[in-house]
Amino acid sequence: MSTAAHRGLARTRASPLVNVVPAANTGLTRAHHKGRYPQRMRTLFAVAVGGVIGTALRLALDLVLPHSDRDFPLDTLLINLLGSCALGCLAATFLAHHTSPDWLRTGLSTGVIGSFTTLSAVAVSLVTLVRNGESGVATLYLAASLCGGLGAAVLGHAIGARLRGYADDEAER
Amino acid sequence: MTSALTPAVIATVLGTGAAGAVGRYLMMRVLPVKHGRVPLAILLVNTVGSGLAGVVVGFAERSVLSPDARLILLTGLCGALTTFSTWTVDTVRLIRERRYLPAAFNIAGTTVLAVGAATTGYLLAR
Repeated sequence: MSTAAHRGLARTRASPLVNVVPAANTGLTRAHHKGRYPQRMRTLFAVAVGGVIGTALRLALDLVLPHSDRDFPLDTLLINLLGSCALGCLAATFLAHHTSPDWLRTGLSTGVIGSFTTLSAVAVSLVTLVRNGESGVATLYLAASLCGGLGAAVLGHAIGARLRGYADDEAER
Repeated sequence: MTSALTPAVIATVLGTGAAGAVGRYLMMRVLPVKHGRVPLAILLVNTVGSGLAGVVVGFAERSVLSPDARLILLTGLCGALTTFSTWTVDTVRLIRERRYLPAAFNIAGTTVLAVGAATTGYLLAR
């Protein structure tokens, strides 16, 4: 007995309703489930895995770079500038093409890079710096995060556009 | 007053990081970005995450929360729930589309709301 027939037999045994429902109908339902539901679940799973990777990278950089509540939070600034540059680059290349699967694009952008960078650490650092009487450092940190973050996103976008230009040139040859 | 960083603590930080990322993703699904508009989902998660982070720091200062719990909630959950890169890249996209007013609102609104929420959370918990 072939495996397909075996499976069909198993399903008939499991559910007597199969005999009532037209074969074409069950086929459609199965195709629907195969097409959409697992795809969303795959994207959700990719975001969760990306969240683990992004958080691990941020935690590792946090541990490597020394910092205190009175110093300029260089570790978070570096993480946020790196992430902004990387996402800007991705937005101009990988994310712009809808050829790659949704789970990969969302897992990489929303999952990995989105979780790697953080705004809550910036906000909390500003609060603790001001509380510790370091308003000057706080102002400098806010300005560096805003200007640096936007600048890094523009730079990443430019790098991505350049890379895409090379790729298009290669394709034309 | 630093966390012991045992494998269990690290695993929990990464687990809550995954939860934060999924929470942010689901919020982006509930409130999808409208073309040329302020990305409200990101504004919302950044405000909520910053407020929660303020509460966590306040509680940790009073030793209501252990250094381990502080690391798990702050670096894991709040760190991954909020995002900086999506905010900056979305803002640059708005500027490129010549949507200067939403871009300016995205910068000023996020800064004021996130820092305001963190300050409020901190002062309430302290």
